[in-house]
Parts: sequence; structure tokens; C-alpha cells
Amino acid sequence: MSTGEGAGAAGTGPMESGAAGTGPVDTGSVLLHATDVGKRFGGIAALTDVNLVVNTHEVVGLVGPNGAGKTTFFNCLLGILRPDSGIVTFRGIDISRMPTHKRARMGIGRTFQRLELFTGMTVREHLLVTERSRRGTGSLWKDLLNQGGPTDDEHAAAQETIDLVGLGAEADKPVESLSLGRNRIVELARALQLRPSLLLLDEPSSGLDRKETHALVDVLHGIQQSQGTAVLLVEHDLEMVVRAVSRLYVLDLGRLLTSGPVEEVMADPNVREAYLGSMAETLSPTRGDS
Amino acid sequence: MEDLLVYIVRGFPAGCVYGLVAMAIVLTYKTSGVFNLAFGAQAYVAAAVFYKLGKEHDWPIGVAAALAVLVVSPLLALGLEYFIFRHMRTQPLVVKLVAALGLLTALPEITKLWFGKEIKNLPPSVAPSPDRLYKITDRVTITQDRLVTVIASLLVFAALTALFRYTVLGLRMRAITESPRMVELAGVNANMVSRVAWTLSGFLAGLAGVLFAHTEPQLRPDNYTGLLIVSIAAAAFGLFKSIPRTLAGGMIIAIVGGQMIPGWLGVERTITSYIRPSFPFLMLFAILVFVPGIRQSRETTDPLAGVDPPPPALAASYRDAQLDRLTRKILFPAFIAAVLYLVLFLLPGLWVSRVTEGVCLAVIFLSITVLTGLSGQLSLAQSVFAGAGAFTVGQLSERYGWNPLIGLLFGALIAAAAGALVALPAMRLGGLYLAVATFALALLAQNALYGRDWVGGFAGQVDIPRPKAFGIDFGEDKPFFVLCAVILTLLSYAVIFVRRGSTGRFLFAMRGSETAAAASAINPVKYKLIVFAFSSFIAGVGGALLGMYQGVASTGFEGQSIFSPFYGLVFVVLVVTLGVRTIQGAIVAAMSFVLFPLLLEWLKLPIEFSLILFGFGAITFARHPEGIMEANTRKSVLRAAENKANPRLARKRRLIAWAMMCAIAVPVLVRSATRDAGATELNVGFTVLPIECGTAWEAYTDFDPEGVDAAQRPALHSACKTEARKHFTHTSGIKLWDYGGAWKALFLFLFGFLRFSPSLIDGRRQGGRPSDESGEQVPGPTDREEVSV
Amino acid sequence: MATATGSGTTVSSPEAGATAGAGAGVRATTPLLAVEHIDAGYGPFRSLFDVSFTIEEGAATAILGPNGCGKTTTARVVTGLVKPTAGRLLLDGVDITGLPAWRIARAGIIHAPEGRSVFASLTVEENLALTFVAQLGKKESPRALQRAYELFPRLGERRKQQAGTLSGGEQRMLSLARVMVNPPRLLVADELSLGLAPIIVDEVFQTLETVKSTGTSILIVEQHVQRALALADHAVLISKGSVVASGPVEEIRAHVDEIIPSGL
Repeated sequence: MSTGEGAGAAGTGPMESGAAGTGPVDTGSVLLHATDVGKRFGGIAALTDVNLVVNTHEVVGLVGPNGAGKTTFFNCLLGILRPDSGIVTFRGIDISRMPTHKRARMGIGRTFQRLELFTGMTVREHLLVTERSRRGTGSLWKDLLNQGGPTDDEHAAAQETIDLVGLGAEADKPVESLSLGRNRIVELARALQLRPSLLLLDEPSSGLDRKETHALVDVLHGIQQSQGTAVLLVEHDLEMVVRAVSRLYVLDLGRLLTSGPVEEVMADPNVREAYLGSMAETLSPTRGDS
Repeated sequence: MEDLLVYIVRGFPAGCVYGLVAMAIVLTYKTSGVFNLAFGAQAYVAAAVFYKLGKEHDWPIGVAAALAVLVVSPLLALGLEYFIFRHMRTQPLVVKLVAALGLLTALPEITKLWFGKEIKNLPPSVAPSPDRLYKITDRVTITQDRLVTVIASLLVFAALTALFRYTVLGLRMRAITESPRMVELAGVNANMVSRVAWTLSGFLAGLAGVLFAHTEPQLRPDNYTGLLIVSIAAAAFGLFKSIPRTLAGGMIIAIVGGQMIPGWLGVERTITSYIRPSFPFLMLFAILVFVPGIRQSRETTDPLAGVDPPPPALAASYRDAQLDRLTRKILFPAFIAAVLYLVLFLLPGLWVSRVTEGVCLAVIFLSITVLTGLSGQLSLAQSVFAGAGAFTVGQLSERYGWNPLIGLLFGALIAAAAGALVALPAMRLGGLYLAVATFALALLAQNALYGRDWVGGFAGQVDIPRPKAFGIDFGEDKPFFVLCAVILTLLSYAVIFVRRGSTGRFLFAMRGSETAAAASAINPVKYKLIVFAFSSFIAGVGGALLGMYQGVASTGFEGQSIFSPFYGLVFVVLVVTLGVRTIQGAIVAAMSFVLFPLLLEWLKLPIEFSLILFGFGAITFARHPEGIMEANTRKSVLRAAENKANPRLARKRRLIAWAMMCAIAVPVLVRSATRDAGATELNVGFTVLPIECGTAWEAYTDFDPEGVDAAQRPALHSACKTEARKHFTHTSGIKLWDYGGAWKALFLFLFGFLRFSPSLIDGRRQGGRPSDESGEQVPGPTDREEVSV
Repeated sequence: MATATGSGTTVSSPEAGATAGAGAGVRATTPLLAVEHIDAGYGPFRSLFDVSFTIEEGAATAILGPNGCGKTTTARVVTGLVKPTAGRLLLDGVDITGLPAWRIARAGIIHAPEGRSVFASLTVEENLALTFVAQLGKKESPRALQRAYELFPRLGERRKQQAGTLSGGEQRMLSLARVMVNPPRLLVADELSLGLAPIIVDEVFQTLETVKSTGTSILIVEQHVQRALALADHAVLISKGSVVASGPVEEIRAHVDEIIPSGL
């Protein structure tokens, strides 16, 4: 383990240039393509030339230590932050300059690491609002004629999502009264309500116990099977990552360290050093499991 | 070149004063997170003490100034910190802002109780012979007063700079601006440091107040409010942190805006009269909108910001469905019918007029319910949007003979357009900065637009006729009242529908989390525009109605017009205090604004008390950020649950409540029953009887009051009163007034009922609150939503 | 470099363990800090449930657990930044629950918080002086500054530089210099290695070793589990806001594997 440490420190530099070229992907099925995305805050480079591809129907993992820039990258993908450089295409369309809500309507749903809920609303209200905004049928004039309330159609759609993620018991409770774990599911449900073709999940399992995590993975699998939603997953829980994803990207200090199939990446000594540190060995049994 | 020197010498003293206040603002904002708008009032208090002692009590001028600046003002600041703002540390910025606004309106009025209401002319100067001239060059001179201002200010600046740079205290203050938490971790008592900072800021405000006094012909609070806003512009120039830049900001406003630009443009030209008073507000607005660094909030610089727990979540409000229906279907209509019946058929004309005024104001207040209640944004320009509506109606009907009803619609549309324009900066600003920017815009409008012929009319006022339509002459009070009430009802329902519909729900989602709303395909920009436009539209309608009610819209250069920015402050404080999320909050706020002065008169309290109480109401807001009415409702729900669980407690509470009500009502009943009838009208007529009385007086004395023998006056006076009462009863056909005591008792009983009713009617309490619009309240306005503005 | 770290750990561990063992033997009754049945949380979310552990004089205690399990909250409760809703904190047997953070700091519990932990707009010297004046008084402050520069010559070179312009590692040094000069009773090291390059992490841990050798107790909250375990004498495992296991490092090591896979 001690030898690995030294090599990791030295190996960080050259690896990312190799990663930039990675991606033996069939262009026909590329859903999301981020090219050379860079973002600086003041003098600090949060992201440097990050390249990432997500294909349709695919579950991709993005891992890295705290402060590696994963959430910043998500924010750049969705337009919550404007990247300083780079291009993001979605379904072949350049969305780099598109405002967030348009990207969402195109079919990118996301959850947040720090919960971002509509405080004061119930679970159902969250979904009804999202369903309305997805349809884009709201207008002030309809509201003024008292036609702005949720329609039967929208109620049905919301109920469908509630059943899908299993929030039936809590559907009419305000989100403040739910536990952190359930609120993560509410965020997932809200993202699903957009009928996304790509889900960006930011540490969905943090704050969940093992059982809940397993349930979440099952829900994700179900959605991926039934609706063909692609998923980009930022996760600390490597067990979950290994269970869920087919390909893995490793981000460190704002740079892409490496990428590729899970087994390959996990075996990479540089990754083990930079990210897993000296405790990579504890992961071996987990990988054996899956 | 010499011109330049002249400008600098002329502008320099004013720049110093702006700099002083600006530094006081920066100091407290940075060390305790309170953007203290009350500094204007604090400076006024210091000046008042100085005036009172130095001029009216003939104290030595130095002693008076020292007492005001070194003792009174710092103590006042310390007191505000200790009794009010200390408790608001963890409250959202907007809560502190509203509390400070309340103080800004209340402090001068409290001071006046001691200082006196009359006009205070020619405030003294600190300098012994203020008008003595000193030569700088042959052409450039400076008075002693100004010289003293400059020297004193520069000394203070130097001392402050040294304090910050070289002392431990200064170091601690600088550290605290970055993170109070981390300062605590270093073993420093952050509270103590911020208390010292407050005291220091009080000294600065006091010094500014005393130095500023002599530069104006009269000592008036609104001068100091103006000073405050100009100083905010200076502070903004310093990005709310740098002392030298803050001072430079003050100088730019005073020298460039106050002297150079007018000098270059020509003092006499119209354009100068537009630009000169507007310069600081334009500058403030431009800085807020275009300098991104200024909006960098505390949260992003404080690495430990996440430590403060989010405010507690609401107890979800439970409502019994059956009672809810009862309220909506029966009690609410019954209440409305009762009010209509009272106003239209029972009460004297004065009441119709007063209630109409209240209804017009309620429409304006409804605009605040929409903006602040739905979107959580705080705009201080609502009175100006209302003015836009009023002036448009007046101009259109006066110049082009339009039907006022069409003019009203047009005026509202213009107000809506203005609101949408304001929304553009609102996209990027939020919370505090939006509030300050809208206030700057409001002052800009007042200074640059209200004086124009095509806005405020030739004599500073526009006549506004009442409409005639559908064969009805709304010039009469009662039809006009009905018109206003109908419009209020329509708009109220519009607001309820919008809140229930997509717009309201989207805005509510944005309050919860704007990021998540955008990520859920909601377009935040569009909905901010909509809510601003909709809100200003309503304000425009309300303003037009109010103008019609008054028959005239005046620009009020002495700050007395209801459309002046000052009232924009009062409106927001009032509505937010009482409850900004419900229609009933707006209506109660409007009615109390109109009827409260009457109540005060009846209680023989000076009229200033209303402003004072409104101001202090703002402080209670800190305890109930969701509004007093909402807090009451929640309390009653809670109590009802307790009562249900514990019948003994319920019985005890009911007993106490009845006892309290009897304690209030019985003495009043007894007292009025034992008094002679002749004395009643003193209490009864509010304002009507004195007028009638005056008419009678004139008739009795043959319009020569001076010619009456002094000894006969009391008898004659008494006869006049009797006559007046007879006359009044005769013309109005109402005998109610004779039962003044009973009337009073009834009023108090109702008051007590509202106050104590949670205990009286247990779970039925919801039914007893008839003005609650349809009770479809969304559960859960929380403090956090107030933050997310 | 790698070997140095390795040898450092092997040498110091038994040594410190012996000290701690001796300390425990002498006054088993009053530990330096006792955390008793603490509940805490932010608003509606409770993040700690009935957390109890003790910290012995001169020993290093590590708090381990998955992300978001309440490690940082525990650290904040100990230093008074977060007020517990139930339970007690005893420093030398004296109840310090609910005291303001600055009083706890003066009592000798110093918090080196996660993330950026220096005042960015103040110079290096001012950062140090702020702490030294508060803890040692105005007179002692210059001497303490002198010592800090002797210990960390790099800081001496940059004394007039704004702390915000220092590199991440230098900022950590600055943070630790305050502790090194005037060793507190208890240092709460909260994710000190977060976002640092491995080589800097090594340096940080070496510094912590030095701090510990001066007799200061350390409460260490870390992601780098193995490193934390190498430094610590005792460990507390937290999961979902509750203590799962606690005891000497040797015993805990066995449990660690159980919780590590579910989060780094």
C-alpha cells in the first residue's frame, strides 16, 4: 500500500491526457457528449477539459474524492453553471448555451446532493408541478379563469410515478416531514416525472442505509429496463456503483483521471491510489460479490 | 481648473457626511449581518437631541453636540442591537430588513413625542460662527461650518482606518466580516465584537446627523431618509466593504453628481433638474445591477455557513373539512353581507368614505401579497406603481377626456409594464439588493418623473374624476364603494386562482428551490416577469381607485403623498407584518391603516402612535416571519388540539378569556352609562361632530368668534355641541351615536373576541375567522422561504 | 517518502498506545472529554442519536464512518458550533454543554474545520495574531508569532501575504501553526486531508503526529480511514448517526471492513 501512494502522486498528471481520448463509442447511440468542459471559480480550476460520453440506455458512473468537481460538472451539464469552455451536446444538439429549463424539457432529469426540494409542498404537489412544467401547458390566462389547477391527466401521471418509486404512503405528506432517505426518493421521482432520457443522479445513496440503497438500485434498474433511461451516477458508495454501472469515469481535482469498464478502472493502480487511497484492498470482496 | 476646485470644495463636505453614514451601514452589515436602514432615523435622533439642547435649551453648542454624538447615538445603536437585532441573528435577511424598515418609520415619530411636532427651522451648526468664510484661493471660499464638517470627518476616517489596520479590535472586526463562526473558534466572543461595532456605527450615524443638520433649512426626518439612501449608494460603490472606496463613493455623489454635472449642463436647464436629484439613485441602481461582486453573499464567503440550522419547519395546519366548508359557504358570505349592510345602510357617510379608502388600499396591498407572498421578492416601489396608475387615469381623463374606467385599465397596464421593467434587474438581484434597488427606483421616479407636467400635473397634482358608466354615477360615495368592493373581490379571486394555478405553484416551487425548479423545466425568468407585471398591474388598479376616491393624485413634494416612496416602505412593513401570504392579511392591513388613526383619536392618543405601532409591529415580525395573522391561526390550531386533548385546560382557558373580556368591557359600559349625554359626542363623532360643531359655532357667533365674551364661551360651546348633535342626527337619520358607550363596548368585545377566541371556541375557531379567504391555504410558509427570495 | 510515512506510523502507534493506557490507568474516572448521550441535528433532520464516547488525555481518537453519517456534526458538537438537543459534554468532568464556541475554544478545545479554514482576506500574520491574542494575550502574541515562523519557515516568508492566496497545503499549515505554537488540550481535526494532494496529506499527518507527541489529545475525523487508524489510539465507528462500535484501534480494525464498503 505504501508503494502505491508514491506512484499515485506521480501518476496523476500523464493519466488524464490519456483519458481525454478515451471513448470507443458507437456514435449512433451517443446521448450526451461533453467535450473539453472547463470551469474556473476565481483563480481555482474546478474542472479542466473534462470529456464524457453517455450512450442511450446506459448506466455510467462518475466517481472521485470529495471536491473533485463532480457536482460542478453536473451543474455545467444542466446549465446551472455556465462552463468557461467546452461543448455539451444532447441527442446530437448543442445545448451549451441553452437555459436550464429547456435542457430539462429536452429530457435531462437530475437529483441533488444537497436536497433541493420545493419546501412546503407535498410529494404529490412536487410531481404535479413538474408534470405541468413538462407539458408546458400553464399560462397566466388559464390561471385567471381558474383553469390552472391540476387536471385528471396530470393526477394520473403523478400517481404513476408515485407507484413506480413506491412513495404511496407518503404521497400527501409535506416533504419536510419525511426522512432524508425518503426525500432522496422524492427527488428521484420528481426527476422521473420529466420522463427523462437521461438521469443525472448526484450521490443518491448518501444518507440511505444499506437496505434503502439496495431498493434504490432496484428502482433504477427497473426504470432503465422499462423506460430505457440512461443514467449518469455520481456516487461515493462504491458497492452501489459496482452493482449499477457498466462504465466508470474517475475525476480528481477537476481532471478526468481515467475511464472505461468498471473492472478495468477499479484495477487501475492510479485510481486505487488517488481515489481509494490506502484502503482499496477492502473493496476486493465487494467486487467479488458482483 | 478653478471651476473644478470650486466643485470639489462645494461638494466635499456633503461627500464626507455621505461617507460617514455609509461606513456605519457597512460596519453593522459586515459585522452582524444586519443591513440597518434605521441609520437614517438614528442620525435624525442625534440631530434632534442636538437641536433641542443646543437651540431650544441654550446649552453650549459643543456640549449639546458631544452629548448627541458621543452618548445618545451610540447608546441608541447599542440598545437596538441588544433589544432587537441580537435576537434576529439567525433570521433571514429579509426579516431583519423589514424590522429595520419598521424602525426607520417609528424612531422619528417616537422622537417627535419629546422633540415636538412643529417645524424646526434653521438647525444650528457645530461651528461657533458657521458662516464665517475662509479663503482657499481668491475665488474659492469655504464656510466655517463646512470646514468643521470636513475636518471632523477626515479625522474620523483616519482614526477608523488606523483602528482597522493596527488594533486587535479592528482585526477582529475584519475577521468577523468573513466568518463569525471561525472567529468564535479562535476564542473570540463574536457577539461582543459586533456589539462594539454597533456602538461605533451609532457614533458615526450621530456625527453624520449633527453635521448634516445645518445644511438643510429645516430639521426633518425625510431629509435623513434621503441621506440614508444616498449613503447606501456610496456604500455600494465601496462594494460594502472598502472604507476608502466608500468615502470615494460619497465624494463622487457629492462632487460629480451634485456639482460637476449640474455645472456642465447648466444649473437652470430642465435636464439638470432631472439628473441632479436622480444621480445617486441611478448610481446605486447601476452598481447593484451591473457589478457582480456586490451580490456575492455572505454564505459563499463563510466556510462555516452551513452550521446554522435551517429554520424550523411548520406545524402543518390541520383543517376540519366540514368546518372549512361551513366557513366558505356560510360564514364568509354572511360576514361580507354584514359588512356591506353596515356600510351601506347603517353607518354614517364618514364610514362609507373611510371603508372605501380601506378597500382601495387593500387593492394596492394585494399587489404585495402577490409579489412577496407568492414569489418571496421584496419590492419597495409598490406605492410608485400605484402612483403610475393614478397619474395615468388623471392625465388621460383630464387631457383627453377618457372615461376613467378605461383610463384605470390603461393606467394598470402602464404600471404592469413598469413592473416588468423592474423585474429585469430582479432576475439577477434578490432579497436585500432587490429591495434597495426598487427603493432607489422609487426615489428616482419621485425625483425625476413626479415633477413633470405630463406625470404629476402642473401644480403637483392631477384631478381625477370618478367614472360614470352603465348609467350609474360613481361620483356618489356608496356606488363608488360598491365599485371598489367589486373590483377588490374580482382581484382577490384572481389572486387565489393564480396561486392555485400553474403560475402560483411554479412560483411556490421557485421559492423552495429555484435551481430545482429550473431543473424541473420551469422557466424562472418568465415567471419572475409575470409575477412582477401582475403585481404592479394590481397596484396600478389600486392606485387609480385611490386617486378616484381622493379626487386628486398629488405628487406631494413634502413627502406627504400616499404615492411617495416613503409610503411604499410603510405598506410593505404593514402587509408583511400582518401576513403576506393571505388575502385577509392585505385586507386587514388596509383596514387597520385607515381605521387605526380613528381608534387612536378615540383613545385620545396622538396620531403618531399609528406609525410607531406599525413600526414596532415589524419587530414582532421577527418572531412570526409568516405574519401575525398566520401565526395566530397556527396558534389557534395548536391550542384547539390541546383543548381537545385536555378538557380541563380548555375550561380554564375559556374562563380566563371571558374574564379578560369582561374586565375590558364592563368598565367602559359603566363609565359611558354614568356620563351625561352631552359628553358623548366628544367620543363619538371622531371627525364629523367637530365639523358640525364648528358650523354651529360660526352660526351662533355670527361668524365672528373673536367677538364673543370669554365668560359666555363655555355655555355657548355646550349649546353648539347640542345643536350639532341634533343636526347630525337629523341629517343622517342615525341614532346609533347616542349609544356611544354601548358601541364602544361592542367594539372592545369584538376586539377581545378576536384576541382570545382560540380559547373560546376550541376547534370551532376556524369557523370564527370569517375573513379567511376560502381556506385553501397551502400548508407551510416557512422562514426558509423568506430566505430563498 | 512513502517509507517514511510507514515507519512513522509503526513507531508512534505503540508509543501513543502506551501513553494512553497509562493515562487511563491513572485517572480512569475523569477522561479529558466525555460525550454523553448526545442528540443533535439541523432543523427537522436529526443527524446524531444518543452518541457517547470519551477522549482520554493525550490520546488520539478517530471518528470513522460513511459519508453523511454524522462525523462532522459530532466534531461541531464537541466545539460548540452545533448545540446538542440532548445529552451532556464534560470537559475534565465539568459540564460545558451549551457554552458558546468561543468559551469552549478558550477552555482549550480547538477546532480545525474542514474545507478552507483560514481568513482569506487577512494576512498570514493577522490570521495567527487573531488566535494568539485571544488565547495568550497581547503581550505573548509576538513571541508566539516568532515561534510559528520558526516551526513553519514558509509561513514566515509569506507573513504579509493574504491567506486566501496561499495554496491549499499552506493554508492547512497556517491552520495547524496556530495549534502547534500553543498546544490546546484537545485538537478537533475535521477532514483536514480533504481535497489535498497525497503528498500534502502526508505532511498534514506528520504534523498531527508532532502535535500528539506534545501531549495534546486529538479528535480526528477522516475519510482516509487507514491513515486515521494509524494515528489513533481509539476509534469510534458511527453509522446513521449512532455509535456502532468504539474501543482501542486494534479491536475496531476488525469492524472497519464491515462499514467501509458502504461508503468511503
